Amino acid sequence: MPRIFAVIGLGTFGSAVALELARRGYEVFACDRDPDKIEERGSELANAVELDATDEKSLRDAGLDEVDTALVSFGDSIADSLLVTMLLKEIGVREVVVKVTDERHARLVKRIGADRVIFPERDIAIRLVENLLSPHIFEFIELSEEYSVVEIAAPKKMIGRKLLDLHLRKRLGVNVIAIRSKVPIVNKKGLPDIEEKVNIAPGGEDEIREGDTLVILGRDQDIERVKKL
Amino acid sequence: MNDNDQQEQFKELLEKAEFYILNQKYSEAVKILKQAIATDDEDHHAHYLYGLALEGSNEQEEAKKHFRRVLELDPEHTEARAHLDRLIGE
Repeated sequence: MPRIFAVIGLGTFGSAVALELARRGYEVFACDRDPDKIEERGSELANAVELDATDEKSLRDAGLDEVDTALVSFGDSIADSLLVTMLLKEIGVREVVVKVTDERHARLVKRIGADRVIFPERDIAIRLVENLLSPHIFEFIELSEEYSVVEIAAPKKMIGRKLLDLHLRKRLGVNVIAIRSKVPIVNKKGLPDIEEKVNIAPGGEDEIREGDTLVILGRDQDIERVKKL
Repeated sequence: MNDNDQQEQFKELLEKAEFYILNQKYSEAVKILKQAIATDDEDHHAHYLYGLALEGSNEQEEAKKHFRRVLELDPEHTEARAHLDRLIGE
């Protein structure tokens, strides 16, 4: 059976998640207590309902006990976010994901049973800082305190060389897990253009070309060494 | 050099730049296009190619400037619009 999702709170973040799930063909219950938000999103989301999610009976009546994964995405009220998280777990939602606004909020929702906590503003802030300080770092994902995945413009020294000859794992302790290339094409109008192609798990014979972005997995200190190349 | 010669030379530079872009030699194309734009700053195709070559060289900030310039000169340029939107992150 396909997973059924619920998104509670249709602010900017909640709406974006609900719309993306719907776009990918999943059934999404989208709820908000504000009728204006339901009206705004009603045309794009088939199951958008006005609902006070802090009321257990309303949750059950709306069929929220049938969903597999629920996202609680309240912008302002930590108290409501905690209460709804608790109720969703109580009525049997298998996985409850909660958007939090600060560390205290995160700690509290985890304690009352949230299965996953997300902190989009902090995460985006970290990525932005990384990108502002190193313009050639396009993406940054922290895997643990020690390990990260970064997307980095291929250093000039590597252009024209095969991965095998660069000995990145041996010399620098990092793994190239994908290469994003900018491949030239001629479009339908006959104009030159460039298209992005992704090579997942590249092999030793693959050559680094101009414009390539390397997706690198490694320890933070080793990634720093690659950045300096 | 008369106007015709200059135009001919400009055309040759753009052809050369296209050749480099289509062979994924973006930094070579950047050098040529810098020259071309110094001759004629009003040609939207030259700015479009410059944007492509810079984007191909991972010089996103510079690429944005030239895609913006294309749209000033030709607001209907859909390719430049698409590249600019992607680089800005929309």
